[in-house]
Amino acid sequence: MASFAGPFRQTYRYLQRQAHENTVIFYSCVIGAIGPVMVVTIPPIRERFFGYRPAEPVPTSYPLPQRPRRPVQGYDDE
Amino acid sequence: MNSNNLMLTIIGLLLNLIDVLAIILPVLLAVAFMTIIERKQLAAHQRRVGPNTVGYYGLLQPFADALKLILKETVIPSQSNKVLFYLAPISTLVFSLLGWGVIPFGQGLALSDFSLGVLYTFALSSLGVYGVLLAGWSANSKYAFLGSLRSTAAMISYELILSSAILIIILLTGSLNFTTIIESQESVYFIFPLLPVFIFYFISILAETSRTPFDLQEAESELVAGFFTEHSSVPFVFFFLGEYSSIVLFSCLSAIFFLGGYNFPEVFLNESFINLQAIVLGLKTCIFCFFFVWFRATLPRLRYDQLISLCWLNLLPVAVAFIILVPSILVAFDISPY
Repeated sequence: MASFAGPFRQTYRYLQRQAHENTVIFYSCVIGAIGPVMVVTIPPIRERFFGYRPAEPVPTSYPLPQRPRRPVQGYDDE
Repeated sequence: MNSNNLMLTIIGLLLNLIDVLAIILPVLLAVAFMTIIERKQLAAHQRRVGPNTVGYYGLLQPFADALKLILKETVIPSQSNKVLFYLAPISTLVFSLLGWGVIPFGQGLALSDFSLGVLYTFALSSLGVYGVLLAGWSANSKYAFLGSLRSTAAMISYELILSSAILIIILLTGSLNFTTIIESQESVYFIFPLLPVFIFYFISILAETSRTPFDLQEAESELVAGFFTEHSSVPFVFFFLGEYSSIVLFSCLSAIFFLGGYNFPEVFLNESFINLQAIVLGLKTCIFCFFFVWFRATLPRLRYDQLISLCWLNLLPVAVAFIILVPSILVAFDISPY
């Protein structure tokens, strides 16, 4: 355990010290960092374990028909 | 035909005037009663009786106070800038009253249901700083000047926190319109999911309205009465009305942003003449007015450096953290309103 924690011991001690000395800044960083982590991790978890499928995007225009355009006739000025 | 058009224009203007008066008069009445509520509540906190002589239960005390102040002589310092000296209280009162123009008192019951209502309200609250600054500068008095400088620095600093809190609500609702913000709280009032945001929002409105524990510009032992030390009689009444009007306005805004405004479960069908939604909004506003006075009775005044460091070193990092967290939650759970 000591060998595993060894390389991170200084980092852990630094964070522990900052949490004690600059509490507000430290926990603000923690709260702020949770956000981007959630954006990356939560959608795949929801899709894999909860069967979530994103809703179809709401259409913002009429769909184009899947055929060539018909020439418009009969409305020309004489 | 022309005379008919003129008549219609005049009638339209008169109807607009009636609309404005229908808002302004109850607001001024509420401001008057806010002063007596404050004195009674402070008395209750301190186990005193409070004003109880003028009228039944002391209810006419604010009118007696107003009459006394209006009848007093207006004293103007000889070396002061007379125009700005009068302009300052007028601008303070006008800017705090203009904010009521976009408040919805019920569905469709607003003077203007403006799509950028939130932006308008905060622009006006920023302009309120000018009244304080002008008053301190124009009076040509050390105490008034120091008071106004303190007040301006505090108001500008805390405005940042206030707008950060509102920005989070705008991100949640996707709108700057008050009615949309109220309607988006039908399922849950924002005070529940956004409790930490509400806490720093409320701290910032205490500072924005220069209330205890942030009333440094009125530190009596150091600055006599702050930026309006030299103002007496009617100009003083204007400052007083402006201050209490902004307290009631900010309480109302808090009710709209965090307690669902005029919405209340089950109060949506109303066949009587009484506008229940406005009463609901009024009651919610009263809760926050109570908080304002409660904090005044409870907390001691901060030192100036504590005030500024609380804003820049404590509240601002927390606000920024929530500005990142809240939209991230919306994106992560795919519930963004856009």
